[in-house]
Amino acid sequence: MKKYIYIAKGFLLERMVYRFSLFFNALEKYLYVLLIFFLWKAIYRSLGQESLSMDFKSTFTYLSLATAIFGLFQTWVDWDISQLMLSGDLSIILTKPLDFQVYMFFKRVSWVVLNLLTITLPILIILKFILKMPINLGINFIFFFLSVIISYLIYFNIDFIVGVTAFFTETIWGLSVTKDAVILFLSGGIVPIPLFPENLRRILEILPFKTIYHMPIEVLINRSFTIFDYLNSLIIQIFWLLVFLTLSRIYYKLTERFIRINGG
Amino acid sequence: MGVKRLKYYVRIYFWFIAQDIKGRMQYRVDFFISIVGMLMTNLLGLLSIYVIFRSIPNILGWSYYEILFIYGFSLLSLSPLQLFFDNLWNLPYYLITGDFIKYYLKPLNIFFFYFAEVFDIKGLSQLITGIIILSYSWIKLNLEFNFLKLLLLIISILSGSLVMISLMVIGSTVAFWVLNVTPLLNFIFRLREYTKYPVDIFDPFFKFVFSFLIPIAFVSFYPSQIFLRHQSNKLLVFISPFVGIFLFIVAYKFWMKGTRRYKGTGV
Repeated sequence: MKKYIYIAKGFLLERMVYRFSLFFNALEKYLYVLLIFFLWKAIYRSLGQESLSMDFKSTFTYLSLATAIFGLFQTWVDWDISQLMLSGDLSIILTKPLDFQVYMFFKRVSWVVLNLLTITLPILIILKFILKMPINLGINFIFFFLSVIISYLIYFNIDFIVGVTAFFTETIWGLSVTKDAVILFLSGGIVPIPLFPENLRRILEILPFKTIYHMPIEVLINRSFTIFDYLNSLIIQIFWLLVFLTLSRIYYKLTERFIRINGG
Repeated sequence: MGVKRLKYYVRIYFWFIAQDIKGRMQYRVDFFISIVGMLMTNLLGLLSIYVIFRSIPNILGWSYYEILFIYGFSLLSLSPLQLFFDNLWNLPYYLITGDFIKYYLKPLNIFFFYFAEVFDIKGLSQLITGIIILSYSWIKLNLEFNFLKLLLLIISILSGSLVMISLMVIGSTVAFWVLNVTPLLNFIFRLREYTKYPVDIFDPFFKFVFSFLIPIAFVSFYPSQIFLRHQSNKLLVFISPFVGIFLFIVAYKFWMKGTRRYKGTGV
């Protein structure tokens, strides 16, 4: 365990060198929250007689949180793996007495910490204290915290699956872009899941992607949730985490034999 | 530039494209997935608009098909950036490794040489998606169609595309001073999301910002008004083709200034 902590610490320091990158990465997310604000304000102003199942404040909070969590999870594990493969540095890591997946996790977990400080926390603080959006700070916050951790673990496993696909496709631009777009959409990151038409919503409720953005957000902002609902969503998340963890372990074992190192 | 020189450049350009496509065919699986990925991303954008319009009749007076028109227009005017200028993402890498020096060593315009080298074929899937969406909304809106309109459409799409190309080229030029500009490029690239909606949704302050400071409203919103509601914002709609050309000249000059600054890495 100690060796992994050292890996995380090392990469944290490395990442902090790139302040320029951290700055623009965060700025991009803030600007996106601004777009959400204006777009949905315009949508709600155009409603007229009709009404949606969520009011403007909830929708704006929901989608801003989705952006904040998306920003938190963005650690480019998949890109990193394909780069390691193409540059040949992968061989150095594979010869070390480390589990490759655990190594990648600790390598990139430091980015999550920096994303938390530069993206997620500022957006949360702005939403709650400056814009006074309806976010409760009670027991739900503790469950939100747990829920986000589990959803990151699910996201990491999907990222890892996409990354090791590079072992036989070499580059993964297409897959990586598709992954983010599909997860965001199917998890309510573009349009909140409660606002989907009934038949589409039923499909999204069955798919595992809702565990990534929708569930933590619901835990934080849904006021009708009881302790039973909190526990229930945690159990669903843990179930899907186990599924994706198993899948990624099996998939990695299968792809391992495709690894080719150029030179060395 | 004489006609003979121009012909020479055109011939070289096609030769470059052929070489690049051959190189890319090595990664056939990724090529295929990239096309699908691009298609999926654009279709999901379309699906989001569809879902939103299931609950509302219009956005600030803009109907479903008008929004689709702007969306399709924006996909089209973002395609040339993807197709012809994808090499700008590699600029930080070339500068850091020193490989950029090779572009000085041929009797070609360095700007042309650098960007001609990569032709990103997956941009074609975006182009086709854009054409389909634009034609569909064009028909549904019962807009008039004739040769003049087509010509006007092509001109306005090209000038719109120059706006985003110029912003990205300017962003990449910063690399000559600070090397790692990928985050800045990501940031500018993300602005393309803003080109898919009418600029009316923003408050006056941001409307001003997106019209005059970071003029992304000229990528698709203002030029598309030539076809949708040419009576509104007459002046801005009229100047939209010139904004792209003007910005491109600025971007080109700035990029060339950057190239004069590069000293290589000493290999």
